[in-house]
Amino acid sequence: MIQPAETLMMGGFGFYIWSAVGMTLAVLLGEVLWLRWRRQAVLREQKRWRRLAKHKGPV
Amino acid sequence: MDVHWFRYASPATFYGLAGKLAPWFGWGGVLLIAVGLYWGFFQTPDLLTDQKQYYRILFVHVGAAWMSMWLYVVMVGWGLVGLAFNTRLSFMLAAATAPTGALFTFLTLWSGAFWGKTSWGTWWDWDPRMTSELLLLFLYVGYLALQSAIEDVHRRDRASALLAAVGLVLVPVIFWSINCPDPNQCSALHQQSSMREIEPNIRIAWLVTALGFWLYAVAATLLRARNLILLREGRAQWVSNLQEVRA
Repeated sequence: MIQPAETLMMGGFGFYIWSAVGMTLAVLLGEVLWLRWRRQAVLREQKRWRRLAKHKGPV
Repeated sequence: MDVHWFRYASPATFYGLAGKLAPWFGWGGVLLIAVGLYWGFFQTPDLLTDQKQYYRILFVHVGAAWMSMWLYVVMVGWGLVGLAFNTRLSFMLAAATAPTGALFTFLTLWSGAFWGKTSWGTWWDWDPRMTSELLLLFLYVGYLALQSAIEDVHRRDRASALLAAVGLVLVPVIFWSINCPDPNQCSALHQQSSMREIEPNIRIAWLVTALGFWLYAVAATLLRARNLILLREGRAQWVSNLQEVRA
């Protein structure tokens, strides 16, 4: 049976263990969110370029 | 069966393939990381013979350290393929691998510091393993800085691939810094690899988490490669015809 308080405390090493594991998971999640945000930005730029090219016609 | 090996060497065809593969690798990675951490935290003993619960830091530390080295090798591999065959996509994949490799190197040093504090009583020591891992982080940062510093894409790709290839000499140094055949010749604070002697449940948790990190790294690389392809090939007609650009 998992005891939440004991799991957090980790025998007195909770701060060290959760800082290491928490930072790892936070960085990985942060990278995915950053990549999604970048993709939206790149797509916005491409759409803007497409609109301009359509308006201007072939050069 | 007739397999067109070079079909996906084109950014236009690889873009679609990467979009299909990334979610599979990503969710596979999430699943394996969750299973590995669950196994590591709840199916392993609270105490080892000479270590208390802080050994659980190793479930993320070891996987991150393997990824930091392996992703560097992969990055160099793509760079060399690009140099040899002058393929745009290879350079893009090398550039897409670097940030994830740098992040795993940072996480190795971060989690290692917490491990060091609990195990050795110090956050940092100029030990061969830690110092060589820090140099690896500098190499990744140097690669990324070079990517940003040169405007011309061809020169940028070739220069950074060359830098990465020269830095490859560091990877065996990191590996042998603790796996020295004669321990008397390489005294280090960092202990030697204990993968073979460790309790089976701990080994399972290590391996599953590391495999999860690997799948995650592939997914992140594919997503970043898609962004790079859009940025670099943005003026091509096939990009304008993409559903997501037309929408």
